[in-house]
Amino acid sequence: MRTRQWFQAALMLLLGLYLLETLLTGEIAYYINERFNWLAGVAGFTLIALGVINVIALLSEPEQGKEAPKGAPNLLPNAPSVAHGVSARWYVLAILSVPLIFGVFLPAQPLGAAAINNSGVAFSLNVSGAGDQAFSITPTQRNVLDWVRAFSAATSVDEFGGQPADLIGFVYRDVRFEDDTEFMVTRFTVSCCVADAVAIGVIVRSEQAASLTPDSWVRVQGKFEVRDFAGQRTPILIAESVEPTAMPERPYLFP
Amino acid sequence: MAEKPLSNVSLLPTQRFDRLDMGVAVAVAALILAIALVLLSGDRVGISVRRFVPQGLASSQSVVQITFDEALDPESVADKLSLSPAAEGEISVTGNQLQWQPAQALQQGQTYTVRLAEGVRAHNGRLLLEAHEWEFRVRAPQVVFMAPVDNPIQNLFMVDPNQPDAQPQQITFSEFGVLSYDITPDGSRIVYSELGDQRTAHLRLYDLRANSTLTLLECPTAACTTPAWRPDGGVVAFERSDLNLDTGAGPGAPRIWLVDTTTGIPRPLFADSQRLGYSPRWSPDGRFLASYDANVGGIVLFDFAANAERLIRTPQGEVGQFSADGRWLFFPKIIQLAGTTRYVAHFVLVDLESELMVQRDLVPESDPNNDVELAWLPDSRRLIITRRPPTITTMQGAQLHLIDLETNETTPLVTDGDYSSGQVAVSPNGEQLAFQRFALAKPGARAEIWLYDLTTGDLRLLANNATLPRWLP
Amino acid sequence: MEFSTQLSLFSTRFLGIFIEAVSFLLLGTIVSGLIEVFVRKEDIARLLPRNPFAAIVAGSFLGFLFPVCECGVVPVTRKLYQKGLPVAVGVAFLLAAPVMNPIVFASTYAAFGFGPILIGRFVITCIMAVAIGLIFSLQRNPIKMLHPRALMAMAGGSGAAAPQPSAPRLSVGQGIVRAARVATDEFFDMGRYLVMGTALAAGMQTFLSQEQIRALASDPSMSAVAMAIMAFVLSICSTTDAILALSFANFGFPSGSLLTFLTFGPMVDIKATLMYLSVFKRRVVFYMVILPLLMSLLFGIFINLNVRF
Repeated sequence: MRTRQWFQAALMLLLGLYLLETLLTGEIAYYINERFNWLAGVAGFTLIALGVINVIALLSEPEQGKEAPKGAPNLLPNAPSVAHGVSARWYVLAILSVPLIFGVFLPAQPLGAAAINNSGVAFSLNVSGAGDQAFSITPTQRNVLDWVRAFSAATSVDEFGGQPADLIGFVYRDVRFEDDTEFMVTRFTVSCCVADAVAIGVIVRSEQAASLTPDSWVRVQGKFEVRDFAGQRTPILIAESVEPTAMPERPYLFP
Repeated sequence: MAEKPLSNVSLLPTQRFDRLDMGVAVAVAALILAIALVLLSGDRVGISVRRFVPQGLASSQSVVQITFDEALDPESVADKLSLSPAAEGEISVTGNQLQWQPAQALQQGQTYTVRLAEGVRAHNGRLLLEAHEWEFRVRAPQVVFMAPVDNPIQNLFMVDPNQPDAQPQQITFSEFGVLSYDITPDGSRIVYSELGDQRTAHLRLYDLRANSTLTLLECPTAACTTPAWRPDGGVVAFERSDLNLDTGAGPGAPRIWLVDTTTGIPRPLFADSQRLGYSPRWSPDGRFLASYDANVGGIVLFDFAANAERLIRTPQGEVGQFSADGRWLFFPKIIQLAGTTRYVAHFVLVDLESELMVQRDLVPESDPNNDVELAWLPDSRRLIITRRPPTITTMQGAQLHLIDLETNETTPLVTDGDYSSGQVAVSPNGEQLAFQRFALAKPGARAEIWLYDLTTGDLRLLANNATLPRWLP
Repeated sequence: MEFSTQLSLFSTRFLGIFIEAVSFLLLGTIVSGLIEVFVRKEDIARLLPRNPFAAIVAGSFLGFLFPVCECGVVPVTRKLYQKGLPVAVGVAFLLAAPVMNPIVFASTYAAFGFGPILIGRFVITCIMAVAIGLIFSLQRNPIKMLHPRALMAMAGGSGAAAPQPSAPRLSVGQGIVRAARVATDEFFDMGRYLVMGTALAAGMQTFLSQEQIRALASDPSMSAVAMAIMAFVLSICSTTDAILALSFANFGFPSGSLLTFLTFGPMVDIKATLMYLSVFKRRVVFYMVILPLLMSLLFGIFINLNVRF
């Protein structure tokens, strides 16, 4: 039973270390919005602190029977609780090891084109108030999210015709696209964590479209033209150049 | 703990349900009832109209479009849309959008009230619960032209021909200049060819409904010029001359290309890249595209329905206009007047409905007039002919006449020897002409745009220093 | 799709939700530990009005004092019960707190701005929590409602009748250590539900198609039902669900259905239901699911059919 208590303390320490590790390696960017990074950091330190306190308590406590409701005499002088001081059951410990196992043994990978298949890609967002910001950014500085916001905030998408753009994203295609000439330069937006990841994208027309593998990261430069796409007037980026590029450090965009 | 005994009692079978259970049961029943009542009392919001056009000032050819937040059931819209004053038209539904196409031009200056009655149903069963009503006013057709003539860089302007003091309004603001343009029959859009750098030319669209300009086709290695709308506005035909920038061979001969205005995808009319062509002209039903092919020496009439072509041989290299009913196409021929050394141009009409495309001379071969230009009136029976009289003076201005195909009568309209007239554009209702005039006698004179009223005979200057007038319905 | 791709997607989503939620869970358990050690039964009693109705109303606003999302609210509530909070007031707090707090106000405002959704979310949540709290006040006996384990601690381990000795104040150091150990236990107790709920939510997102549900979006009543199911299954933390609701708005879900999502989701979802089972008896948990469900559906459908925005 002391084994379980030790295991419990170790699990907390390891979980805490894992959180700090993802934070330090930057892999945390694959999972949550960066404005919550500090929370993960706090959680990591808290877990380590809790683990350390538990270890100290274990070291300073004499071995006790399971039925010791009146509790640890020196540290818990007036414990009214039964539950505390008794380690969790093995299956609970097993369940809580799952995140650690996933985190440590599976390679960290951000969501890619495969993740879109059951949720679709948005060309426009109802981002209230945020649209105006997008207009204050120079066209070539805008990312996919800025464009998609600008499209939805604009009174008429026609105004985007002729505007230059320089975008990085991964290649995505579905049945609506002409395979040879069209693809979408796509990013995920993550407001909280990947659970609310929404794929957004800009439609690109390029001669090279056929040679691009889905999910590969590209940098697209070109100019917008307003065309009909699937029955809607949509700004389409006519590519002047499409070049492969490395995945950015932060694969998601944060609204 | 006063309630302890109570809890013991509640273990008895008779007391299996306590106040909480009863309370929850009542609440659940009440909530289910309330939900049922809300469902029974039905939809009080229904579907709503997201967008509707035209609003404000609109063309006499305007198509009424109403967009909803849901996909519509086409059967539910019958008899729901009405205009007052009444106007005939055809209703169609695609997805979220309801469209009404007028059968005839709407009355100029008239304010129409569009009313969509309640009861239009969406596919999911929701109804339009309140009638939707709005007004628009039909503006008079405008005259579009290119100006200024004395500058190599010209842009498009438009002016209201029926307001004598109206100032022309500039539509395009091209840096390198507009080369040519065309207007959709419904007056909603103008396509124009704009010069780029290194003699490239690109196709742009000006949408009058949104007052916005966008690119229809970028031609980075070619000059794309002389755009012509298919009358339904779905396709633009144009001339494409490759600039051969890489080989340095210089600009090539033009080919006819088509560009889909919804997808923006261009393609050549003929798969064979050696088929040349220029002056694309659409038949009014959009089935035929006429263009001149210098290789074969004639007008090629491409039939999109049959995917076939017919040839009208003419060495003159000019393609005339289709009549509004689609029956006639004309082209010029040059003949030597019998017994003289003079050559004159006459026009030939081709009857496209006849099996062998019978040709008919507009005037007898002996007619000494030199016919320069021809333009149809909307009745497909009368034409405006621009002709130079047979006097032998060198600077003889061309004058406007009306010619009636049935009676063969010719009526002079604008005849002033000091001026040369041309580029006649007939207004959509056939009552007014906008044309270019040039003062022959005045040194330093520039081309001007004039307006002639066929019913009153009034003649008035519309714009100075301008050329190539067209009517915007 | 290949299994390895799916596994990698699942892992990313699972860890994403877990990392995000574990912070809030820890926040909740630490607050819970601190409450255990430093908040006395008398303090809560002092804090809440005597009048049961006023106490329930106050309970639904308690969240502004204990800003926790639904991952953290259950341990706090359990602790409050152990400190003698009336069950009905605790239920009102439990249902309202995930919405009625500054963090959720901020995220909802960020997503929808100040408008019908923001106001609707808070007003409807408040009405629902108070109404359900009142229904629960029909039964005053905690023994009939709370899970034995939650009760045990409450009774001081020696039966309900045993008078609880007024504990002498701990030193701050002792208190913190004690709070840490309480928090540890809470973390493992609640953590397993979080892990299972997260796995389920990530699994649904990865292995099921959302398309049919999207087709429902245009139906005024079925879309509200769909949103309720979505809220239940996705188990998204209340501090962030407004942003997710925004993407449903993009799929054409009407405002009433979005409000169903935004009011029902924070009260009841897979993860929360599993956690409720650790505090309440099954029968009570069932009531705590069915009542919010019907109420949020009523509001959602009513708004869909009768209110034009």
